Amino acid sequence: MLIKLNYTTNKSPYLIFRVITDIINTSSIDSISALQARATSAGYDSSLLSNLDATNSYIYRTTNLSTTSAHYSGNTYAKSFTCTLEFSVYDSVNTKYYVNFNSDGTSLVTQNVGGSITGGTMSSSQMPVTAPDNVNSYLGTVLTVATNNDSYTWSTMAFPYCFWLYITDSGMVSCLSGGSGPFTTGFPSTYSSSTGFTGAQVVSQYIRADYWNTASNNVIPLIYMTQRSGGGLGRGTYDFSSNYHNTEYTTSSTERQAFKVYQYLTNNGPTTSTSYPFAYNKVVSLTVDERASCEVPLTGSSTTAIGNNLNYQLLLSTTVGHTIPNATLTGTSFGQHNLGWALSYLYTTIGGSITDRIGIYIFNGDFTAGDEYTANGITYVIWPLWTGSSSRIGISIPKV
Amino acid sequence: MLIKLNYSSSTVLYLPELFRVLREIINDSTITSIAALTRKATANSWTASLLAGLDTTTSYIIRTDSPDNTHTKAHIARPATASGNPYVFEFVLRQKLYDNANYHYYAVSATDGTTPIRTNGTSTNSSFSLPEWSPTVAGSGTTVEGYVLNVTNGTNTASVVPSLSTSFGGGGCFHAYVTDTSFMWGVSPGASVTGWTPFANPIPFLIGPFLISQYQRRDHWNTSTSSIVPVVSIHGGRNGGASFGETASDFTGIINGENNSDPALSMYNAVANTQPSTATSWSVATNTSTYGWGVSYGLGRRYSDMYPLNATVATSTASLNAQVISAIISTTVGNKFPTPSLTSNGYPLFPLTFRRLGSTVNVSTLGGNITSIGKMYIFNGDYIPGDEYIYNNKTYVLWPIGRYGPANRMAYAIPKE
Repeated sequence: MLIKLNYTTNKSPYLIFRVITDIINTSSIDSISALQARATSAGYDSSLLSNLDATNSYIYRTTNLSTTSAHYSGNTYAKSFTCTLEFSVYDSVNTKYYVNFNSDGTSLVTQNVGGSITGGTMSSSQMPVTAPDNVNSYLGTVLTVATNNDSYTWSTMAFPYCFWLYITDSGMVSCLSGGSGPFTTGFPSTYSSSTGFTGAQVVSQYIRADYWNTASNNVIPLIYMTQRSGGGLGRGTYDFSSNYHNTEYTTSSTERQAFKVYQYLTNNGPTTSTSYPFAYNKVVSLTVDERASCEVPLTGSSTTAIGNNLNYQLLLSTTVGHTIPNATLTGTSFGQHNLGWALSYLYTTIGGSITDRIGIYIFNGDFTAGDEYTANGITYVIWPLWTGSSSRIGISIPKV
Repeated sequence: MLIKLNYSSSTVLYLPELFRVLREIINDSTITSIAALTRKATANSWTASLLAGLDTTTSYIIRTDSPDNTHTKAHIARPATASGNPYVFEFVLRQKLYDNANYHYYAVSATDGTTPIRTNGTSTNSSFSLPEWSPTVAGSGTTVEGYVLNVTNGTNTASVVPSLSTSFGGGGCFHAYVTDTSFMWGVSPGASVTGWTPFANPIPFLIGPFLISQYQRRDHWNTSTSSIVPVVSIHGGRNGGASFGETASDFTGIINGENNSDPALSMYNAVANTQPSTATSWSVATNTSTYGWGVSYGLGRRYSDMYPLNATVATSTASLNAQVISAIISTTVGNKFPTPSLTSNGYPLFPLTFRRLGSTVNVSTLGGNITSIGKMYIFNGDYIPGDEYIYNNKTYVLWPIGRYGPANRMAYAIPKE
């Protein structure tokens, strides 16, 4: 499901997440008009959809959710809230994990990822969509993510003009557009600013690639972004770099790799050990078409000599006008690449493919944020990196 | 299909004779055992030399996964240059592409008596149905037998050391693994129960094992529509040796397969200039040089061109732009990996993969997965050639990866099916 909620003025996250919660939980909301009809039939408080630019917003629900649900509680006066999403592991539907967004109304939105919730269940009481604005009363049960929880500041942008969310039963990707709006495209004119654009934020399952990575070993195949300083993918200059990216680097949080894996195996050989404990929340390497940024630079080339050393041509190009052949070798095309992760140092973990699980790709070519293209019968909208589209690297989001 | 033809110490092995037997086995789906083989030889009056000295107790034919003879078919002939030379033959194996049954390719093992030839190609100058070297004809004759097919559009013509123009006294064992998508073979001279004579490094006569296999395509341009034949093969003449694993550095050094003086694996054809560029036209490039398009081999997504497969980059946590990489295999006796259930440890089976990242020679490819098509794996652990290994209820027999395979604890795990 792809959601674009575009507003004519900046909108507070505590209201956006109220709407998002109801969209996720109501399968009949498959368009903006259906959302508006739902607002009428369910008696939405008028604050929820106020200033929504219906013309430049959309909801695509071609692929519906079946095992994913959302829960919301909050105080409309204090603007505080908790929004909790429950996902099921793709090959072990009874295994759940949770993504929680919360704010006390004065601080920034915080993202939490973990294997359980405390304080209640997804069936516990929620703030009704009819609850009026600016009433100083906390409604609904506060849910807190637990079990190897990891927490990050999700956004420094208090009031975005546009909220984008791509969500499937296996993951979610989101971004926010702010600054000097509104924007009919849903994307701003300035980037590399925590108040201009935040994204893309990925919290997703991946296809398991390691033989020990199984449901029977109780591994939750979850990868998520570290939300560095309110940015998203591309926030660190080494996310897509012509240099190697050392994922063991510990000095700067901003420049560290974008992704963390929720659960990983330590000491997985070769070794004489017979003990194989799991650990949690480890910075890992981003992979594009199996090229891991810690092993071979993603945007660089090294072609000076053909000896027994590492040589490599460009995989992703930042040069305007660069293309690759299309599948039939009859014309040019821009690149659509598989996104995944790996943990190469000490653990020799293959990781897995995010693309093969939730259908997003890394785009490489000349584009303007919000451009669309069709490949293999699926239309994709191209989201920019935190730094904008100047790098020619974006994220292809299925419009389904 | 897995074939082990083990010959006693009193036997002199001639490669043409071994391939004549292999041809009969491949083309007759009723030959599912050594007993069936000997029955057919008797019933059809094969010349005695073909199975002379065969140790039926320690030989076997496992045909659980039988090739589809509609496409997978062998052809053998004795060329005009024979003149009584007992080493002359041309063996051609035809196979279909895994994703296009209308597209065949041909793997040749042959010699004219002096020059060994191994070739892959996509067509022949003669029909595959033309007469062949009959198993009833003596191996030492002087007459031309059958029609030489002369595979064309080929690559990877390389000498084999020791050459195919060799006989082996003292017995030995012929190993072959044949499916609809892959072909492996090797000869271990010298009689032994396991079929692999105990050897130190180096030994003078180990032929192969060779591998000619299809792989799972990765690149979006790599399709049969674009006439890409998804085949990789092992070279026979690299570095004065005979196969993959002919040097210890295959497992303990950085190996960039593009180094055309010494590639272990090469791909049949590829497309040039597929990296991001301003190019507007591309062509399928079949490299007809001795070594073809050399590629780097991998175990899963850990490749030989990054860093030695058995080594970990000693990096600093204070350096942001440092390469970070870890060992995938161990050459240390006793080292193991966790079992899938994480309840104990054992030896791993890795998928065999390849890629070519490109250099000044602008042929780069994401490569492919050989194991997912050919079904053989790479084993890393303590073993003796011929050992068997059960994983996921399937039995694998361990073939050494070249002369340095056992010392480096590296083997092919071949499905016994």
